[in-house]
Amino acid sequence: MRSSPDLEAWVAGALPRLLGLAHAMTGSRAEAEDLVQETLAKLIASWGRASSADHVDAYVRRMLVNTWISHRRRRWTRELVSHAVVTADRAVPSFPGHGDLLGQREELVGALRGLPPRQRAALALRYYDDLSDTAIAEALGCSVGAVRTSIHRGLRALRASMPAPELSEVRP
Amino acid sequence: MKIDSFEEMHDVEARLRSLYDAPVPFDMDAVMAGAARRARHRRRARTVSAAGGALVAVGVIAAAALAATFDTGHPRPAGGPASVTRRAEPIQGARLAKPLYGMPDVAPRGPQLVGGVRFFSDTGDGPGAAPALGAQSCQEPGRTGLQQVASRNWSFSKDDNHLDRREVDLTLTGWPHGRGSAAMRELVGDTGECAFLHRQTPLAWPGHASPDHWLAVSGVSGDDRQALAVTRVGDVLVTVVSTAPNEKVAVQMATGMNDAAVARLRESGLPAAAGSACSASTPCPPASAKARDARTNGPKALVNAWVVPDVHPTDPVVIGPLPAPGSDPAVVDDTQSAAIPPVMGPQSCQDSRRPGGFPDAGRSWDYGNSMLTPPGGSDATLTVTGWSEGTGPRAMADIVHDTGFCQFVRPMRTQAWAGHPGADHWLATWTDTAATKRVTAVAVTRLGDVLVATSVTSPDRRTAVRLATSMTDDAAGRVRASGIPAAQGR
Repeated sequence: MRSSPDLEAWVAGALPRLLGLAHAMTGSRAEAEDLVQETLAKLIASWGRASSADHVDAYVRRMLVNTWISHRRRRWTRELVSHAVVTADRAVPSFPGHGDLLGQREELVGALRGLPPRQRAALALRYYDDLSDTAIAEALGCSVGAVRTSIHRGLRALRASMPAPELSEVRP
Repeated sequence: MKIDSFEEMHDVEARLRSLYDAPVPFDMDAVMAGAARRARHRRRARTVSAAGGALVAVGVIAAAALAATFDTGHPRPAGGPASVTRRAEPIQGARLAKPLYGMPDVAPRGPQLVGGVRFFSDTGDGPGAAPALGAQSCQEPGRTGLQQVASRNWSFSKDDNHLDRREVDLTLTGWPHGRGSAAMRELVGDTGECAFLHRQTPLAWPGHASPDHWLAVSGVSGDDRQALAVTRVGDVLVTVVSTAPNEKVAVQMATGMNDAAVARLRESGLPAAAGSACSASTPCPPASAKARDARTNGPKALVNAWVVPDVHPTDPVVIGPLPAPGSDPAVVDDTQSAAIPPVMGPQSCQDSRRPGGFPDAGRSWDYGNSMLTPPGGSDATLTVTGWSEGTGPRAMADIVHDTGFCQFVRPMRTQAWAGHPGADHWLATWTDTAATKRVTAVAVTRLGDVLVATSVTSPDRRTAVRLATSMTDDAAGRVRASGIPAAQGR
C-alpha cells in the first residue's frame, strides 16, 4: 500500500511552484498569495483524499486553478487594478536597457489581464509550469483540443494587443 | 530568463516565459500561516454548523421564540435545506429559547493553556451547543435525548504553527437538576440527541477513574487525532475536544484544559456545579455573556462574525440548467468569508478610498464557473451578506446607487422586477459588448440587515433574469425561514 505523503513536507516542497503558478495566472503577488492560501486551506481539510490521489501535484494544481476561476470576483477585480499596482511588487531586472524591457513587460501584463480566465490559466500552465497539453487539460477539466484552442487564441490575442517593434530600422 | 535576440524578444512566447520567470519575493511563512488560519476557520464553521443545525429546525417551527436565543449576536447556523425541510422531526434539546442560567467564564488562561493554543472565541450563553462541540453532530434524524438548560463554548487555536493544526473546543452544558449523571451516560454511550462524528476509543485517564470522567480519542481527517475529555461536575458537563497532529499532544491538551476548566468551575460557585437547583438561597447567575472572539483585537478578519446559514437553492425548477454546487469536488463552490462583496461576481472591493467596508458575515455559492461553462451555458453566484444592526437599508442603497465600498465594474441598468416593488428589491442587467453578447443579471433582496443577491451570466437575457430572480426569491425564503435575527430586525 502506498503511504500518504506528509502534508507539511509536501506543502513545503510544492509551495514555491504553487505560488509561481498562481502569480502567472493572477499577475499580482498579493492575489497569488491569497489564492494559494485559499487553496491550501481547502487542501488541509481534504488532505486524506488528496494525498491518496495518484498524482498529488496534479490534484492540487487543479484545485488551485479551479479556486481562482471559481472566485470570479478576482476576474472582475483585475480590471480595476492599475498597471502600477499590478507591477509594483514585480522585481525589476538590473541590467542595461531594463527600462525598455520593463515597459514591454507592463504591456504584456496588461494584455494578459484582458484575456479570459481559461486562456490565462492555459498560458500559465504551458509557459510557467511547462505542462503538456494533456496535463493542462487535466488541470482545467477540459479536452486537449480545448487547451490547444485556448492557448492559440490567447497567444493570438497577446500578439494583436502588443505593438510590433519598429522593424524598419533593421530591415535590409 | 535572459533574452538573447531581437527576434526572440518579438516572440510572444519568449516574452511570456520571461515574464513568468521573473523572481517574485513571496512571503512563504505568511502564506502557510494564512492557509492554516483559513483552514481552521473553515473547520470551525463546519463543526459549529453541524452542532447548530438542530436549532434551525426549531427555527422553522417557532422562529420568533428562537430569536431570543440569538441575543449574543452569534446566531446558530442552518444546516442547509435538508434541515429546514426536516421540520416535523422533534429536536428535544433545542426547545428552550433561553438558557436557565449563565455559565461562568472558566476558560483556561496563561499557563493553563496547553499545547501553545490561545483564546480564539467565546460564543456566550446558550443553550444550543453540542455537549462535545467539535466532535458531534446534532443533525441525525430520529435521535432524542435530555434537554440541556444552559451552555457556553470557548475555542482556542494555535496561530503561529503553520500547518500544525492544534485547536481546542471547551464546552460547558448544564442539565436539569439531578440529571447530570444521565447526561453523562448519554454522552459516553452516544445515545443522546447529538451523535459522535467519529468512532471514539476510550483511554485510561490516570487519576480520574470514576464514572464522572471519560477520555477518548478518534481520528478525524488525514493524520489528525482528536481527544475528548469529559468531566461531570454536579449537573454540568465540562467537555474539551482537542485536535492535534498526534494523539499524545491531543490527549495532553484535552485533559490538561479539562482539569483547568473544572477547577475554575468549582471555584465559581455555580449552584448547578454543586448539584443544586436555582432558588432564592442559591440564585443562579443570569445569562448574558456577550459573545466575543479574537477578531475584536485585530483588523478586519476573513472570519464571519456569525455563521451564515446554508440557503443555496438546489431545486431544478429554480436553478434550471445551472450545475449545482458540489457537483465537482475539486471546485470551490461554497465560500464563507466576511471579506466578500455583497454581489459576488460583478463587484470589486479594491478601491480603499471608497466609503464603508465589508459586511459582518458573508457566504457565497458558485453554480459552475466561466471556465467550465460551455459557450451556450450559464453560470451563477449566490451571495448572502449580513450587515451591522440597522445598516441593512444603507447597504442595499449602496448596491442600487453603486455608492458602497464594493462597486460594480460595469454600469448596471436597473430593470423592473414584477411583483417586487419598493426599495428592498433590485434587478439590473448588463450586456457584454464583446461578440458573445453575454448578459449579466443581478437580483437583490433585503431582509432586515441581510442582503441576498444572485448574479447570473448567460448568453440569453431572459434566462439570466429568470434565474437571478428565482434564485434570489428562493434563497430569501430560506433566509427568512432560518430565523436568523439579522434578517428579522434583530
